[in-house]
Amino acid sequence: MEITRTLGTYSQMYWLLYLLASIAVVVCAIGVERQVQRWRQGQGRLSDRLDHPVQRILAVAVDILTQRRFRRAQHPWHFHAFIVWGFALFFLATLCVMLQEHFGLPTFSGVWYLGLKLALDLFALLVLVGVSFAAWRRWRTQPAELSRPAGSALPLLLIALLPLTGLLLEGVRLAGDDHLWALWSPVGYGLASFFSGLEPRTYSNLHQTLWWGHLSVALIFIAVIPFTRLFHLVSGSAALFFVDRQGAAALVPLDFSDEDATSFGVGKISDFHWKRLLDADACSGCGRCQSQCPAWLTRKPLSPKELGEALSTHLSNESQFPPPELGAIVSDEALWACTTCRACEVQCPMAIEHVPRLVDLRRYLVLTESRFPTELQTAFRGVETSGNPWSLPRQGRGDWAQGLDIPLLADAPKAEVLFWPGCAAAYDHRARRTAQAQALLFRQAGISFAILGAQESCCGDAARRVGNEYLFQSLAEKNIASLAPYQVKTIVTGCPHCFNTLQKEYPAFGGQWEVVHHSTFLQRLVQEGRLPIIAAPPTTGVVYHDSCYLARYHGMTSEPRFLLSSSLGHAPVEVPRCGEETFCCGGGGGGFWLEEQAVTMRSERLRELTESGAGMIATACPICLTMLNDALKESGEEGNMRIHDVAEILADACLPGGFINVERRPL
Amino acid sequence: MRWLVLLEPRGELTPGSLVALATTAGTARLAGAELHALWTGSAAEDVASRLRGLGITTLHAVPAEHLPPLSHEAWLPLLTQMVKDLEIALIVGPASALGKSWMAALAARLDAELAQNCIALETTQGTLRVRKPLYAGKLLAELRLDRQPALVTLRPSSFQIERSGEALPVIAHHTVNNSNSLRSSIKDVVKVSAGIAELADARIVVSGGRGMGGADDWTALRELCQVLGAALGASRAAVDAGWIHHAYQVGQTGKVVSPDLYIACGISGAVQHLAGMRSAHKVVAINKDPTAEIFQHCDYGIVGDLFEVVPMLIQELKAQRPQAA
Amino acid sequence: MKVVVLVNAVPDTAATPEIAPDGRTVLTEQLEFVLDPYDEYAVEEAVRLKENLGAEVIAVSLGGNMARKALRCAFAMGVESGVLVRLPEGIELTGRGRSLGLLPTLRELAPDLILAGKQTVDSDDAQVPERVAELLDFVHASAVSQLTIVDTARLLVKREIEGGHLLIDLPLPALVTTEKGINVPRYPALPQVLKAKSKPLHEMALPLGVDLTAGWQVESVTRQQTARRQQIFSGEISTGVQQLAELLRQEA
Repeated sequence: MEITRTLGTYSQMYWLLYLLASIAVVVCAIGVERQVQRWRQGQGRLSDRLDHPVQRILAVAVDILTQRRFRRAQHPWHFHAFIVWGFALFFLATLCVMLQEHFGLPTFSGVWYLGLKLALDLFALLVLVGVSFAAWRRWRTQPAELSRPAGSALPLLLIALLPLTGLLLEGVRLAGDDHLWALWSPVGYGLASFFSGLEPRTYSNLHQTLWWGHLSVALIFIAVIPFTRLFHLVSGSAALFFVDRQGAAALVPLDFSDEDATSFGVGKISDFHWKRLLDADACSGCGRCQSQCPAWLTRKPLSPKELGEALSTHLSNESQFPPPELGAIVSDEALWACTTCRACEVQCPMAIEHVPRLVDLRRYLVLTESRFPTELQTAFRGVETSGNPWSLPRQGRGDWAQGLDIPLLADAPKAEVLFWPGCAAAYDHRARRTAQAQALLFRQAGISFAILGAQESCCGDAARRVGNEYLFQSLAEKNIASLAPYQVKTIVTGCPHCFNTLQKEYPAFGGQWEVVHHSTFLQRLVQEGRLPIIAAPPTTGVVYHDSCYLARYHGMTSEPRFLLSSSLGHAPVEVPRCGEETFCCGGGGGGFWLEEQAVTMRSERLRELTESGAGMIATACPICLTMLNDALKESGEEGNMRIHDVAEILADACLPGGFINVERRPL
Repeated sequence: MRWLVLLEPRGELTPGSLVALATTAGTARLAGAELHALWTGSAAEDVASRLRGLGITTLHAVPAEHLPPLSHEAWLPLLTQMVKDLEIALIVGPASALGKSWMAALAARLDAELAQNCIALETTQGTLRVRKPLYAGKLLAELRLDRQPALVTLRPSSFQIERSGEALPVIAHHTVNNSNSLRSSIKDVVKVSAGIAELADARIVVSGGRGMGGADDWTALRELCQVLGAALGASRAAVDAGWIHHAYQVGQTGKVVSPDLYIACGISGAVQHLAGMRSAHKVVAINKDPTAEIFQHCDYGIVGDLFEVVPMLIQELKAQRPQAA
Repeated sequence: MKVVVLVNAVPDTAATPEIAPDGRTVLTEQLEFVLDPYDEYAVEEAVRLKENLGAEVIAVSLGGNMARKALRCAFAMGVESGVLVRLPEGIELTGRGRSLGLLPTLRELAPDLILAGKQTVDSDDAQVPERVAELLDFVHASAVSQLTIVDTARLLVKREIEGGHLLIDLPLPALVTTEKGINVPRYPALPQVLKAKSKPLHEMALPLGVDLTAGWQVESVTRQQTARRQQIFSGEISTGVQQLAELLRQEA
């Protein structure tokens, strides 16, 4: 006996079914088209985001089916996965029915049929659990970060009704047709007992009503997608598909060739790239970005979620003409509060490009309006004329290396490695120690390396991220020109910001080298046995603070920890916010050029790190080091905590005589 | 050969004028030049007595009642005429705000060269040389003045005033024909009273940092500001610790100041602070940590507890300048 | 109202220039040049007069390529046109020479008001504007930290001096040099920076028949050990304080 069930009970009504289904699809398509038209107001071409199409499709499929972007320890995600998986299964089952009924394929029969039945029943239940949880969150627990717009009841109702009507329908069917395989539909079988013993006529009417009811729910669901929050099915998938594969790590350059241009960056909604408009609509208001945003958590007027929602609302106000400036809906203070730490992006299930979007807005303020906090002007001028934000002498850039006998690249053009300490390690007297530690370790390992000295300029990372793209490009061109006469193959940077910019952003301007952060480079040297440990530094526990630009921009969380474990002989202490979930020191995205109002991110972070009980904080970024040191000075706890770069700790373990407590190493 | 020193018309003899005069007098002796001075104020006899023993032959005195004392427009015709009549070879003025602009205008009228802001005037075998700092004192140029008349403004570099003997200059009284009508007019002369000045354009700034230890102990610093007529500043560490308002912050992310004198009390010298005061003319550091970075960036430093040093300094300054207290 | 603003380019103030092997010339080719910070105040003030009163603003500079850069900086801040009095390569002028070199151009422009920075930060020179004013028979005021246009014919300025200031009434035509505090110079918006490249810049030659040669010779230029003396009193505090107080008294 064939394992299947008789289909086609209402086959004479199929014409109506397909008519209604067509109407639902057309309504849905019209709605989607209207939304797409909104995005088309933006700049750029579709092809901007069509490279690697196969990878894109695969990535979206994996994103959706595994819910990997949703699975974050800090947030409930199962309920959403239940609904997604349930609906995916409903769709699959419906497809199977259709294929068997119309094309005679055995897609709704055999063991497959039994398994499908069982899975459908279980997932119908799970969807109901999921939707109940969602409703509970929406109306009862109401987490602070969750957007709760009017009209979110309808989608939840439809989501609940589909499995509910389906199960009832199944129950009625099984009650009237006591089938052999009924046990494979345990929920429907259980429900069937409620309907047993009905008049055949009543039974038939009930079944027919439920059948149409179930169908209507499904078709209404399809039809209302573009008009409700269900639209995130379309916009979210599209956002995932069209994601910028480089993202915030390599911002898109602006073109300055048109001397008559009157505007740069984004000053009105249509200045945005179309993907930014799509992003605004892809947001479903889950608020995970906000819940992890260091600016929001330190009570700054920035919420990545609210920014996106404001843009989406603004996009809907098509009637307004002329379109109001974005300044009216996004405050300058909010824009300057961002440190480009990417905590929001890492959390976002839709991979919304929060950071590049914000930089677009900053670009307009800086380049077109010349409107920014006054302290930025000091930094811009310093970088323009002296190559560092403090306007300290260009000639003093190599002073950190005085007495260390490190050759300039001009004198040692055949050096294997160019060491690039960056502004902070070149000038800040505390951060200089980190560059010195790194240099001494390179020498200990027998690396032939050189520095650029006064020829090195600020890499432009902060300038670019506060929106001064013009200044960034001039710095990039200048640095690339400084390196052009030499055959540099490998650059080791002492700073994650320089690392990212040189590796990810300079190629667009013709700079192509192997760029390595010092933690990676030192890890290699330790693994190759070129830096044997002499004595572990005596410490009362070391906690590692992840730099955003290493952990989130480059996924580099193990390299610094490897160095710590090697130096100390045991793994460092961890704080809850670590790795990809690290909390920003406040220095990124130009933050260390700006004056942050209390409560500061650096003091928050210092508090978290102190609570770990460790007596020493390790960093791998001179900016984090400086910011946390400032917080330490402000807290007055200098006696109870020390902050060191992983290289200083390694140097203490590897160099004869140690490093950390040696006042000035053989200078 | 006659030289002339222009004394600043500020009612009384300013220290800057006196130093310019004394420096010129030393060189004039070596060069064998006859030194004249011009005073455009009242009480010429008092001024003459303060110039005793400096080797000044003649003090040209023009009573100021006739002309507005601070108006170069009023005085330039007379000055020009006097230089021509006396066949002056070298005119020296103080490198003060008024001195520099008067001398520039005079140089134009005489079609002569002017070396501004010099720190030394020397003579060897009839050749005159000046030393002039360039690039904020990072370079020093030596100029040989070839053409006469030459004009030089001098800024104090040494404060030793050497007198030889008791000889008083002869006072030559001049009168002014007051027929010219002036186009510009000085409406008001405002003296900035001692007290705490505005940070942004203060000539002296006194700043406190982490070493202040809290929000309560700023009285000594405020008093030092009162005595010096200085503005109060602070480092970011002190501001962020909540001890003082952000408006007082000096540094990369606060105000960038370039006063004549910057006194850093209990400030370690983080790069972000240095960026805000690196162009100060003179920097004094007070810090109990002898390894503090700020000592690498100061002209004068005292290693010691600021709560000990600052009150002592106030006492010393008050003792020296009772009028400022 | 026609306003001329005199501008100079100066090397990055943080840098220390090299000295040529002849021991007399300062090498600045390697340095970054910027608009002199005091001139920036003058340009900002001029541009505000343009924006608020519709003044016509022309920037004038004397020199070579660096002077051209100074003019472009002024253009980026909003000045509409400029005149470069071309100084041939290798010629250095003193303050006297520069003022005489600028004179014919300024006569021809016949401005109502000339603005300039109170001094150049490289040579600490403060004389070209005052000389120009005298040569043009303009009234002038130096180191002005506040400028008010009273009416079409008069200015009221606040002129800074040690220990206070003067309030001076000046009839036009006049020349004013700017002191810090007069305004906060803008950071030019990028569209202006890009437009600066194509704004009209006229070139003039140095006047003929005028003796511009220097009345002095630079015999040597030497590098000073350090800009800061780093004289640290670490012994008895009271002794240190006494010495410090004495130094402060002399230098204040």
